[in-house]
Amino acid sequence: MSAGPDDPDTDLDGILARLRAQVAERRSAGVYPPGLEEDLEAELGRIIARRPSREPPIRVFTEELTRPPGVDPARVAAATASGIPGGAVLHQAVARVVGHQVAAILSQVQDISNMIWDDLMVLAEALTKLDRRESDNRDLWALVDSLLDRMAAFERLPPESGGAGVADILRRLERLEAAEAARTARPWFSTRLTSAGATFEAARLVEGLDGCAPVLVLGPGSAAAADLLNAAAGSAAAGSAAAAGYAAAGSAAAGYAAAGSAAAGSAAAAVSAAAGYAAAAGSGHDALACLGSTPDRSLGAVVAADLVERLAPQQLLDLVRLAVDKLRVGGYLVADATNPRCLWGRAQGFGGRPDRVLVDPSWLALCATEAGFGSVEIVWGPLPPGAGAPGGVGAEDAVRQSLFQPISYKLSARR
Amino acid sequence: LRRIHQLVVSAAQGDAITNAALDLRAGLRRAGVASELFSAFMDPEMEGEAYLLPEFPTRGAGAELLVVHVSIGEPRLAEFLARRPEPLAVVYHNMAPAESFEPWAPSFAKLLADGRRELGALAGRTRVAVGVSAYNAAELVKIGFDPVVVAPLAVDAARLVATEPDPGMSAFLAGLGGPVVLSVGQLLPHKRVDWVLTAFYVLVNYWIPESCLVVVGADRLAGYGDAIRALVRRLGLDRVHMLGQLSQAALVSCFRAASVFMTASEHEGFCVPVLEAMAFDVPVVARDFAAVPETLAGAGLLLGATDGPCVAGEALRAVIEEPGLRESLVAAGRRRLGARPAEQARSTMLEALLGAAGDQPVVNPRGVQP
Repeated sequence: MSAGPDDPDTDLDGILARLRAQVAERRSAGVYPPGLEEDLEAELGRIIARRPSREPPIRVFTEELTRPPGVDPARVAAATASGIPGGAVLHQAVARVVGHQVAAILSQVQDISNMIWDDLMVLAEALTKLDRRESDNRDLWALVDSLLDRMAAFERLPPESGGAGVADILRRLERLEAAEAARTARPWFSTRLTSAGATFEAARLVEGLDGCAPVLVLGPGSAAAADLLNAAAGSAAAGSAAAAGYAAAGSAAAGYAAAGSAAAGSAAAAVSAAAGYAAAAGSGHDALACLGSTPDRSLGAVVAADLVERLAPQQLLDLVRLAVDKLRVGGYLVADATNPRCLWGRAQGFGGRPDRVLVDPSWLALCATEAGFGSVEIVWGPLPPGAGAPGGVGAEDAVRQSLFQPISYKLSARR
Repeated sequence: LRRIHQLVVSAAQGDAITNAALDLRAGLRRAGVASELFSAFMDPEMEGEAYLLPEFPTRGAGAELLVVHVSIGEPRLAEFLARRPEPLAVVYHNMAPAESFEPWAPSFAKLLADGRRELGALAGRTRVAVGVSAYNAAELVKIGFDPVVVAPLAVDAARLVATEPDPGMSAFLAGLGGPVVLSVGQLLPHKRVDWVLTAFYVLVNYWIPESCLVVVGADRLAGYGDAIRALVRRLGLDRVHMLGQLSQAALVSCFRAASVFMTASEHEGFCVPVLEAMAFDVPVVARDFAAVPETLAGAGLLLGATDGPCVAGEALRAVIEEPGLRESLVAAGRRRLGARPAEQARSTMLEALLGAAGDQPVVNPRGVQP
């Protein structure tokens, strides 16, 4: 088998036999410790066992759920034969009564089963959407790998090769930067409508802010919220200068992508000058610039309407810290967001929009506390449709509680 | 003008099956046969060299024979073939076992399993089936193909040897110090790179601490690649260099720097790198699985399927440290390459396909019988 084809002197079988004998000898002499080979060969298995599954078990679970039932109770026939005169008729009558009872019980069981099934499907859908390991960043990984490969090749080049390869590395770096930049979505349309119900209604958002003027309302949801505040202020003090200030900024506020720093700046100037209400649309940099341009301790409230999920993590921290500086003592920071703990909301895709980063209420509350707000409160939004339906089964109620947390929440932090 | 067109699942630069199809196309054209390559998927760099399946009606009409290269399943290609009336020839490059991929990429495993089913469906309408090794041919016979011909891949080792090495890579390898164990192959579960690592563990910890292991091959399966890198860390193998997919020039640098070539693959339809190593006078250590012994043909140290990492580590040591063994393996490698020149392999394949296109009795030089 392993002898060289035309070389009778090469006894490869003999060489292999010698190697095997040497290994056996060294094993018995303790050169190779007992279990060494088994341990080496099992090491990959141990690594595999610890790695996260790429095929979430939830898919298997979903397939099980959607499998049709194996038995149709309607096809189960009762024996009604009898040797007694009239016995068969009696049996049939009893069978009909029992059949109706069984059908009613089955129907009740089926109703409960359907409710649980619906809940489990929501859970499965939500968990499937949560499992994004397959797709997250995969496009960037390939570019990063390619860049690292090139850098490794560059490092291997002899010193006399000069700058050869640098241009190639720079080109790949530019591609990576472009790909990374393209991952941030900046829609030219309002995405608020696509998440109807996922954020607070304007009225509930600004609830309790009467008398807090001046209030600066930031974010894509600012127009409606500021409108309400202005209307309230207008009824209390008709023709306030603040309304004019809002009107100027409000036109920009209607389309969030159109609002630039200049509009934001003018809105901030108007609100602080007029001590009224103003809206400044925009997200991220624009909103922070607007807030930053107001004098310290000049505001009665800062309302972030549908904003915090659009901020990068550091921008969120900056927003909270800036708000502390700009609010006078007793002033409020109010912010609304989708509740990431609501699995029903996840199943509806509220967490899957590319322009959002979900913000957990406890994280937002912690940020506010750490920034120096004295009183921090989370106000929960509405429950999902169907969440209030009577379950009647303890286990189902437990499932419902975990599935149907409030869709949205509002942070109300008092300085 | 006679027309024989070829079909592949994916046409890509550097892909072994695409290269085989292009080599065959050149042979067909030299024989005066019009031949084009069609694929279900195509690397943009292949534009002009290959065409997508929808272009077949305009560019491939009137073919006497369609040559289908099979290595994986693809529903689009299967559907296309189901609609075509032309007679078929199958070139079987073998399919990796689906179960190896189950834990890593279930969707890919499904494609492999589908591929075997699709292959079986072609048996009834195929004029000739070509296995690139007797191992593959035996699988074809088992599936039900008849006639089956063995035509080994045309490995143009002379062209590879004539390639100028990459100076940067050569400098890097020269700087490693110590003997270089080389392993070439995609990072896929059935290639058992993990097993090579365990053999190297024995070599470097018990025998030659200054030796290095250079692993060349594309990381096709992220999870498996990650696991292999984790294994390198867990075993503390700081003299392992995983270089990924390389240019031909850089690959030549690796072969030139190698002291010994090792493959632990448990499933190969042919195993081209074994012949490439021989072309560079690099002795080969391999394992007795699938078509590897056939390709090796006794010109390398063939470990038994039950041999463990210690025997493998000692085999590597013996090849590196025993000059007589090394010289005899190099000489055997040269004889092995000389015994089956690329031209002979090409003509076997051409004869089979031209015979099938002309509806002539297919020559069966390797004597594979159903």
